[in-house]
Amino acid sequence: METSKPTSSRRSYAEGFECVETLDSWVVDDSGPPRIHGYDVESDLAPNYGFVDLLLLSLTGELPDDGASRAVEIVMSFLAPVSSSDGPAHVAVLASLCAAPYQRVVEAGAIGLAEAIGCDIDDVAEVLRWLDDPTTPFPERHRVASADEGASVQRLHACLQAQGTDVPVFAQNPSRLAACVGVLHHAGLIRPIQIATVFIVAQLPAVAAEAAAVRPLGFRDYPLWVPKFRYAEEGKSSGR
Amino acid sequence: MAGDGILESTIVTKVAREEYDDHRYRGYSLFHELLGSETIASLLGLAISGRRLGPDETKMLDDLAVAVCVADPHIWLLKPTRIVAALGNTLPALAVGAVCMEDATLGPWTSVAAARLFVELSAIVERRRLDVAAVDAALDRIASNQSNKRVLPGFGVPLRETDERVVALRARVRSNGREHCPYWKLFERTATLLENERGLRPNIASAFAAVGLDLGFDPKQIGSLGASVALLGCFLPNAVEEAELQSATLRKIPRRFVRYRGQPPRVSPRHQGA
Repeated sequence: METSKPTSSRRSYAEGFECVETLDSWVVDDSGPPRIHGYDVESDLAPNYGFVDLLLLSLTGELPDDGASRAVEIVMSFLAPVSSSDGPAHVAVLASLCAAPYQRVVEAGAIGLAEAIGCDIDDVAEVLRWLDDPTTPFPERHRVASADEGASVQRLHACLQAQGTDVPVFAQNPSRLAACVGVLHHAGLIRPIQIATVFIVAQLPAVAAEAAAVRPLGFRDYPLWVPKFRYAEEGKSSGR
Repeated sequence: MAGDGILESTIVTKVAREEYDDHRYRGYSLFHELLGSETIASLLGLAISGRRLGPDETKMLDDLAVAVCVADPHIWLLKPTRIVAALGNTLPALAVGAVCMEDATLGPWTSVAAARLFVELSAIVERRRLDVAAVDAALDRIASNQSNKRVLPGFGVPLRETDERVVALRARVRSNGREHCPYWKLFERTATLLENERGLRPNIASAFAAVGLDLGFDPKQIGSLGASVALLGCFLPNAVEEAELQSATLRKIPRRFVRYRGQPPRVSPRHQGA
């Protein structure tokens, strides 16, 4: 089948679009020894700062003080546990079960995590608004809902106080999620993408580890019927 | 000069170009040559291979796409899509399905290895008869690219006697008059040999691979083809439905169905010393 040839009169409508010729990089300068927000990573940051310091530097543009760094590190520990019963780890477990290569397992887990974290952060949007303006009333539905949750929030608060850090959100009897987000906000992470990134860095190791523990193709070790789906046919409707 | 820099980084593409009144797609006019004559399946074929299929080939590709539509949400490979969709969004759920498929030992991508096996076997049987040793020789040639080196791709049917998709596809291959195509004939000869000699029956991966090779796709393209039709026919309906249902039991498996099997409770040295 012959193809038609483009004529010289045809032009792409994007061809005349004026734009720059370089891609901007705002955070990492790798034209020489790499720098993050201006600091030499290998000679300055690596010998003098920890990874959470780098995380906060990357996300906020400035090095954190010791208190903020330690607070974020504590919150990341509290966020870290993600079991195979949680969606993101369950996804990675299934990818591993189907003998997907490790890159795909991590990709699958990361997609699941980003979705779940996005739902969580969207759910606490009211808390983020309150954190931006604490003169307004704290949203009631984001207070502690159970004794177990309350105990966990108290442990988080105690960890932070032991480091000499107190964060105003704890005065509101916040839910565990609201408390974690409140601490991150206090450390300068005020945008959803910043908060989500910290969540992902905190949680991806457990997701990957749950998947790594799975025996590929070990289908008898996986509960196929949890949950069970029941197929129900609707009345057929068709143009045929 | 900035202009020279742009030329250095120019990548040649054969996929497409947008234009004012029409667009170019794989060498064809989108609105004057493709629109009105292509189906979704033939468009997939053109997208993946760059080659436009004829009407008979398109019909076979349509049948291939339908024959593999086993979309039960219990299926292990489909469940990640279901889980992510339970969070409310369709496309990330599809993305996770796509990611789980590529290079997995289970699922549509196994047709890549099956296709490679048939390509090697086809070359081998030009010089000698088809027997189990020839099949093993073909497997040795492709084994370095496989994660599970001694599994014969495309053969072996779990949980049942025969792969019902192969039965259905076989009927369509005959109905479309393609049973004499070279790779399909090799598939049938190999299937008979392996069943007689090793009790192994063909699964859909080998049948899909044979049809795909006869349609002119290469092994890796067959993987993209299989994944694409699976995404459309199997993953998409699950993603769409679950994005609506947002089942809580997929977002978090209830406690009573979870069994912890890791390390027992213990205390860290630092906590002991505190």
